[in-house]
Amino acid sequence: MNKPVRLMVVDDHALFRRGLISLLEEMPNLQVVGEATNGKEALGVFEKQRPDLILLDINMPVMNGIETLTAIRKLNPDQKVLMLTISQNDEDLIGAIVAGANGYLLKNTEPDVLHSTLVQAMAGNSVLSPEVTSRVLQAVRRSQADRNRSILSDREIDVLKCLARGQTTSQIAGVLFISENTVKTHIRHILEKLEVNNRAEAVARASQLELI
Amino acid sequence: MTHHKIPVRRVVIISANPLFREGLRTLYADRWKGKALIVATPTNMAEADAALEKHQPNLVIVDYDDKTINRAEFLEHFFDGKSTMQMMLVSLGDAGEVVIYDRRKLTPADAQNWLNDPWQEE
Repeated sequence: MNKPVRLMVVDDHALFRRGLISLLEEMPNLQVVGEATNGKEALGVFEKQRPDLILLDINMPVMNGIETLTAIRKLNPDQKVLMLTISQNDEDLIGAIVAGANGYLLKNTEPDVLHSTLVQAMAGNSVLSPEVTSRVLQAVRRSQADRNRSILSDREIDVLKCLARGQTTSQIAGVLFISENTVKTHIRHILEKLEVNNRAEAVARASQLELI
Repeated sequence: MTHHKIPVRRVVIISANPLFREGLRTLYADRWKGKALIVATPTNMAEADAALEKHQPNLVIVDYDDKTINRAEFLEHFFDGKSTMQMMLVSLGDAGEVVIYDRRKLTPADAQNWLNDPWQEE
């Protein structure tokens, strides 16, 4: 028989926490070795118990879940931590992932899904509640688009928008109040930065990268 | 010596959150053995209405965080009803406060007795 997974539950909601612990203790191969009502308390229990896996709420008094996760990561970079929260707030979600959470589960998870998630997390997989997956993907896309946008200057983006409207060099120069030579210089830089060969390709690539 | 048979109380736990619902069930089912029975665990208003009508519970625990469960509607139920019932309102989003309502129906004589010591332990 496998050694049971040693769990710690951190949640300030006493009714939820006690119920959850009672539920976890009924699940096979799990053992709850510690509980805490806020992050500060959790750090003390963590040092003493060194659990295999921590279930961590986010919105808690004294020290919230993300601060706690950051502190735990400093004590043990390999510690497995799953956030278990009602928050679908982007700031909490992305904050937890950036702080190094191994997963983000909502409290509306079914008990059998929670169990399989714990097993997956112990196997080294990252897990997300289906409700938050699309938010993570959106955030990644947004951040990629922001990075792409920073490749080009604001003026180059303006020139690209003109190219996308099918404007010629002289028309662009007129619209942006710059010389045709300056327009050509901007276009040459755009082609280099986007690694394309002509204006049409530049517009297609810019559209693909959500620059325009 | 006469033994009074204490009736088994009926408990309904209303929550859209399975971990909360099943957690409470696991925690209290054994602890309440012989004293109370969790008779229903509805997950939305329609199921809750049906369970309240069918079981006439002594205790209702309501987690009103989910949009499918309406706190105001529950309070209306509570104030409209006549039978003895306790109701606990819980929000998973607010760990600071749980509200318990205690509804009793008494005869005027019982009410007078009750007023002699309204704060006695049950």
